[in-house]
Amino acid sequence: MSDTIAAISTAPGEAGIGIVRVSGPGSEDIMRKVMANCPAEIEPRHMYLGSAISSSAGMADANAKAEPIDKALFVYMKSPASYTGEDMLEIQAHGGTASLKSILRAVLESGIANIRMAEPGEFTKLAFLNGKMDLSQAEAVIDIIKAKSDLSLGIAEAQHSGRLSDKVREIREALLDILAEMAVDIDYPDEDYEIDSEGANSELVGKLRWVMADVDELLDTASIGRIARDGVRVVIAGKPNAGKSSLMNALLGEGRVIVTDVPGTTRDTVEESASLGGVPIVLVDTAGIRETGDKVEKIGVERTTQAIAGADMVLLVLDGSRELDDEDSKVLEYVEHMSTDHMLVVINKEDLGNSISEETVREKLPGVRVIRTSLVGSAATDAAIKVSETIGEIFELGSINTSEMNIVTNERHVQMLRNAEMNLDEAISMLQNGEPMEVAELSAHYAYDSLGKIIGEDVGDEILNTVFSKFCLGK
Amino acid sequence: MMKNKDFEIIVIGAGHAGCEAGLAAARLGARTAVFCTDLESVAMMPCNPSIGGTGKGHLVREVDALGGEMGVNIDKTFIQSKMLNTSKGPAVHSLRAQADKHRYHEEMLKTLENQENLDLIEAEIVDVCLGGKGEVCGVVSSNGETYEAKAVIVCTGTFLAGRIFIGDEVYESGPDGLSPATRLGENLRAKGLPMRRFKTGTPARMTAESLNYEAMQEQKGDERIVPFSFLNEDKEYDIDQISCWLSYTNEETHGIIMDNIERSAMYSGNIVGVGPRYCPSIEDKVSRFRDRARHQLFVEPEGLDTNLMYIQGMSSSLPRDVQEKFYSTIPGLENAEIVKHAYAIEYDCIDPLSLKPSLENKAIENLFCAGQFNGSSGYEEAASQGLIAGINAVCKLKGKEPLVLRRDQAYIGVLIDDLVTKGTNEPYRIMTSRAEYRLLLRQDNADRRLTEIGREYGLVTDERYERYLKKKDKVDAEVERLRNKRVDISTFRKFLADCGELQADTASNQTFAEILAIEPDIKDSETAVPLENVRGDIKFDDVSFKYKDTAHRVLRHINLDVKAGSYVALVGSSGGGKTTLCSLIPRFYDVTKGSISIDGRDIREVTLSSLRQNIGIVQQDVYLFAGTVYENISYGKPDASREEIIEAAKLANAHDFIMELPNGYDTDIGQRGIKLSGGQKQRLSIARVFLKNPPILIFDEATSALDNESENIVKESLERLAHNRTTFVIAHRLSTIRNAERILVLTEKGIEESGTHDELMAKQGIYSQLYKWTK
Repeated sequence: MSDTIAAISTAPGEAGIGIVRVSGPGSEDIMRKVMANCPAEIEPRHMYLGSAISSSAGMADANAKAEPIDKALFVYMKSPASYTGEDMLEIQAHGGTASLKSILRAVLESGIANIRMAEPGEFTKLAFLNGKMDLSQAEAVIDIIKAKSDLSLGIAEAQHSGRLSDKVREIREALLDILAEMAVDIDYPDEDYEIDSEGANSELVGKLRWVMADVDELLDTASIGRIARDGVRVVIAGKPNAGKSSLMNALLGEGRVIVTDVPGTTRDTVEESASLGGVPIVLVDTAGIRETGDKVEKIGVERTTQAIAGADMVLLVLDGSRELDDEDSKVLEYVEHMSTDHMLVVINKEDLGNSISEETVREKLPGVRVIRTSLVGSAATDAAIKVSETIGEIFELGSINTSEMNIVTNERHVQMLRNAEMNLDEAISMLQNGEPMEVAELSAHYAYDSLGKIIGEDVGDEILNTVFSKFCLGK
Repeated sequence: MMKNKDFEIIVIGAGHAGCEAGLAAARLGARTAVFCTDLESVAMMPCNPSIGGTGKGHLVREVDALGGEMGVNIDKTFIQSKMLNTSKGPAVHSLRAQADKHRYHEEMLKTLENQENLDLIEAEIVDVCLGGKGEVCGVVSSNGETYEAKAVIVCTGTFLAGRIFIGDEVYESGPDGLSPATRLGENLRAKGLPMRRFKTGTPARMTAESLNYEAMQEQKGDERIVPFSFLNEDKEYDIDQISCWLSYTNEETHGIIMDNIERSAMYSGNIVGVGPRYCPSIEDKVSRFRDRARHQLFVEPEGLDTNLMYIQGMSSSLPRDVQEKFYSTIPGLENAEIVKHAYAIEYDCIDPLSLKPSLENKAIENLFCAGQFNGSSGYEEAASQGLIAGINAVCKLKGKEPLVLRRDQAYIGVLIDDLVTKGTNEPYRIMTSRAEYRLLLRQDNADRRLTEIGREYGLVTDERYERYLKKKDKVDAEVERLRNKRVDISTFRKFLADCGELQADTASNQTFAEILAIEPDIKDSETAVPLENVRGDIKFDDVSFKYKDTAHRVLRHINLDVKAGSYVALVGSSGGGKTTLCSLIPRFYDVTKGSISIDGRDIREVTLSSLRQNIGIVQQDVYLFAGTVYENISYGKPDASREEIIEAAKLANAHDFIMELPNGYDTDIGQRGIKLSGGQKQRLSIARVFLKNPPILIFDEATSALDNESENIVKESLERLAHNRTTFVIAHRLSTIRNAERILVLTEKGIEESGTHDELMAKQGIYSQLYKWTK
């Protein structure tokens, strides 16, 4: 008999309510043991009010009485109409740590066979194993939970609803037809089917190209997908005391980073996640870049160069009250290799003077976007808005319609799509180079396997099933 | 009452599974009895009169390698042989032979009768006896006799509770009118074995003289016959092969079938058994694929001494009158005389999931099962299982580990693994698509894969094993030679470069195996299209080039516009990049920066083969291979006619000296005593290019190794060749290029000077300096 599992499913800490979740064949018995005055007839998926009581089964003293723990709502869901597909019980009690732990203990000590604590993610794993969702849908659950912006949530929701799975299935179906054609060609040389497979412009190559185009289209969204999932990595760079931390604070709207007027205060990179206009951002404040003998600060400088290397975008902060100096040039050197499309120069300290012209900046960084501001008081807020608008503009994230587009965010999916692409490419060039069909078939087959792994489907007999449903074969 | 000699193993059924099972058991030393209801049924072919086909041919080869009989038997009795799928790779080449059905049966019967340790008994077995521990201990025949045995192998084929359907006619029968085994099925069911009902069908047989062969297409056998058995590998087969005939159904045929479809036993609901999808009846084909205007059928002879023809592709369970009607609509069959009508047959079989991978039954110890009884279909599938069941029954009695082949070892492994782990919902047929390791499981390496295993289990005779070892040694020695034989690549580098198969910068001393493993760096782009109708305008647009893994740029910012048909000479110190520049045109390397175009098309956007087809190269080192002069010239255009070749040789000033050779064009220049001078070789290679007739030419130091007289002759033919073609000449001898329309001086800085001889001389620059030096 399979296990019955239980866990506190809400976040730890103090809250209005909290939920203990149970899944498995023992769910109903647990409900009757743990919930006092549970009616004899329970209608599944209906809420009942009851009182959770401590279990007597696990107590050392056999005569000990069950003690009430908390008043709670509970709901019983009968298999298969539940999240995991098994029988389930959910108990909603007050959200205190002690109360929920006591209820969980009562559940675990209820004396039901094979009851145990759930492992992390196990409810969703069961949902996958029981066919309630496919693998990519199951993977979206964690993305939904972790989503920090509307965009990430939208994409995760779309994936959870099965839109990505549908697309992958559609691609696989097209590939399946091709594989069936290949199988007929290989296994039925006597039959009356001509398959145009030779050379660069054969029908078969054409069909494979279509499939590959579909895979590519999904892969193309991976860069947006990563940004949507992990956030745009925005690195704030500039010489010491140019106002990097002030910019960061303005963007975050809080005094997270210590700001002083002593150069070199920020000795390490500091990361913060934020959502600017619905777009997820990871802001990285860097130590000011300058030649330094201070060992700690040296490490900070190294980290800065690393951070710039991994940045999606750089906000370059310049002190506008002074002319560009050697230190600024040093900073410019660091960002020189980056595309100026993914850069914004913020000329700070407008209030203290205007010694750097936009032209001077553009001489060094052709075509770069420049804004002029003063990162104090309400001007700082204006600057933050401008910066966030620019980020949205650069990454065109505003134009992403999560309700229509399929966006690939999961690194595993990207990997499988790449495998599929590589194998399709191989199959195509093999056919073009006149390699035998059964050799090209192998690559196409691998591509089909890789796509299947995205949704957690193994290859079974579907190729032969397609062969016989689409082709009239046999003696 | 127990009676009759103490058999160790009893085989029920003498079809293709039963024969292999019985022979294997007896050959392994077990006292064996094979029972059949009728001696006529030994190795009978109730369906198509052929052995092999895709996947199936592989199985026969594997049975043979393990020491089974099927391959040997068909080699004795085939009347046509064909290797299928030869347009594909060796992994899916599949052998198929038409059998003389009667002789196939007779030869197998003889083999059984002559087999030591084996008794062939004509009796119907109606039950198996179980011992105290539920293990099988014997069988009971229909006249009540009991035969004791330690193991029993069930190979009942389609006999078990067989029932035949022709329209609404239904009667109990085995295949081909033989009596069915009715009670055994019931008794096995009663013992708790999970039995089920499958169905299959077979088409009509017609008399050969009633058919009109003019109306059908002849299907001949292969000229070169490859036998099935590895024992017969070097045997010459000189037989008159019999042809098969191809014809097609038509709208009229389909009309008759659709009008009567409800009279088919399949559609009337009489048949409960599940039929195979890969062997549909004609009514199934017509009704499921209505958009197809025709279905093909093959008319196959059943043997040499019979006048029966088998109508492959046209099985049916329609009533006799409908069959007569629709068969007569088919070209060639208009006046066909039907001897036996098509029928569907339903039979009992076991759910193979109840078997172990050794083919022993999970519930009843020592009861082995094989063939169609296990839910498979086909003679070859049956033979494979029979062989394995026979081997494993003996292993069981001897306490040895059973023989279980893996999916990567043999199609037999795939077949049995599929049956016993996945089960089947229809009669199971092997297909190469079922094998994950298709590329490894070739029919021509079955001996390599399985002979040693067969030897270990005791079925491979000394003769077979010695043959195998000899062949294996030969193959191993050759592989070893290729692995270790070092070759100086420069001897055939140019040749390989011509084919575009080798980068010129590969290490010069490598083994064959290493050379074979080299992957070309340069491949067709995905969108490459053929380069056609080439005029020959060539443009270098800001081309820079450096060799891979070096920092030094050999070419820098080369801009060059060469009009179609013009003659350009490249001069400059060695290392100046002359050869490199030329080798960029056929894409032996790709440019590092910039682009090269022909007639305005970037050469990276066209297919390599078409690009190189349009470029002729004449090099200093001429590559000639061992073979005739004719063959060496025709290498430029493999499908050229003799006239074309002679014409090309004449244009290259080669015809006269060729005619003076001992055998003219057919002189083997690889032979001892035949020695061509450098100039003669050069002219042969020029003839090649004439034959290829490309619009673009590259002469690489073509005359530098020749004496003066030869040089003049070669020069003359080169000039003729260059006429109206875009030509690049790389030369150290400045005298040879004096007449070039354009001379380019290439140095490390790029093209430093450009102009005619006179212009450059007047310039008093690098060229004039070089010219003075070489003077």
